Amino acid sequence: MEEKQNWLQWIAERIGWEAIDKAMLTRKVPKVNWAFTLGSTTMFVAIIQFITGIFLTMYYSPSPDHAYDSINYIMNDVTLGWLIRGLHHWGASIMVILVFLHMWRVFYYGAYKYPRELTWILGTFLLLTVLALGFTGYLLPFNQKSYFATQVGSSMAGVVPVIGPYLKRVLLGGNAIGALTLARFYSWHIWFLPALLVILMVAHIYLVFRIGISAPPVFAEEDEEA
Amino acid sequence: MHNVKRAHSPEVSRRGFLTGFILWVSAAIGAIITVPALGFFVSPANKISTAEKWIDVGKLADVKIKSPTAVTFNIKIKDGWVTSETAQTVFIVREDEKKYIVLSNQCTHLSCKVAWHPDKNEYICPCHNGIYDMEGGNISGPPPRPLDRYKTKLDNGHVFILVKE
Ligand code: HEM
Ligand code: FES
Repeated sequence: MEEKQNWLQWIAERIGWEAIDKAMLTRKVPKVNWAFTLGSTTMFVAIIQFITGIFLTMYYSPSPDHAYDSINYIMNDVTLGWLIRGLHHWGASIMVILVFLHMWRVFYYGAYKYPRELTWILGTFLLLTVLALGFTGYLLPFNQKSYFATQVGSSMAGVVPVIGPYLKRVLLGGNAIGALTLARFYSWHIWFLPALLVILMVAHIYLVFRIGISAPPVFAEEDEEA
Repeated sequence: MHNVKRAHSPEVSRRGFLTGFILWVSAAIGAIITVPALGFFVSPANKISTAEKWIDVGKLADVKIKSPTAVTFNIKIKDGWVTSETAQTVFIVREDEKKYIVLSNQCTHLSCKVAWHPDKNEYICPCHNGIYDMEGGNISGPPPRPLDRYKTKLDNGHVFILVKE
């Protein structure tokens, strides 16, 4: 025990743990309720998505010939493949729900106001990134449902005035859903969007630490009591 | 006096207890993810097929005595979600009218493919110059043991070998 403490202290001293601890873990927060944990919950699910997603790439094959079969292989042949895929599958929906709940909490308590506007703006980009991750991930199993969901989603991009048809071709990598679509959706899903998500999350949470969390608004009668 | 003091400074503080509790719960959550993930990771390594199959590698009469002959055939392998055919080569070696053996062409050093050189009467491995005689015995170089031999049987003049699927 004694030795362990010294060993941990040795590292703590070198990485400046005290400052990190003060800024992040033992910082002062106002008296809040469980709704204020929704952002952290979203972050937790995001981490689960990263881990399970990284593992899924070990078996998934983003080619029209193999995508569907590789998913079947994960579900039926890989040890606990159903669990890892299940976590990623349900985690995706849960993440969207959590982001909305978190956003509503922030809105309800008016926590988007000065000085937290930028936190909110980064939040809107986080919302869009999460939705984009859901959209691109949905195509990957390459089954009927994925195919037509992508058809519908990309056709929506297609009706944007003037640039719509071109936008749709960029999205699909051509005129129709095919090998190029699957490959680029995969690329977005595992590289571009997660990288963006990490950058946005770090900036968003940096601001939360920097500015401090907002206290719930105080109502008139409570004010008198206090 | 002693008791009073203890009551006010318990060995485990509220903060200490909660910190420890949170750490243990975090560790448990970590384990719930890590253990399945490890199973997932090593999964194919635990699923090696042990099935064997007799394969026809041609007529014995077509092979000249003391002239190792390479025969290539295809075997079906299940490779994850893909079933594919891969080519495999063996040498049929006739020592005399009756005796024959079938050798693997895979070097026993680090698995390169050896070739028969009729001018030298040797199998030579191109990777690190492992050299074997006609029956697969070691002559020189790094290979630690002779070339592997297949189990064989003769049926209607055809040579069959037992291969792993
Ligand atoms: C991946 C998505 C997101 C993650 C991981 C995330 C994470 C967090 C965390 C951990 C907090 C600390 C306070 C709390 O948990 O309530 C927070 C606060 C905040 N978030 Fe998010 N968030 C996300 C999306 C959003 C969205 C979509 C919005 C709004 C458009 C938003 C706006 C805010 C604001 C304004 C605060 C400051 C609240 C305060 O100080 O009381 N966030 N976020
Ligand atoms: S692999 Fe044949 S000599 Fe090294």
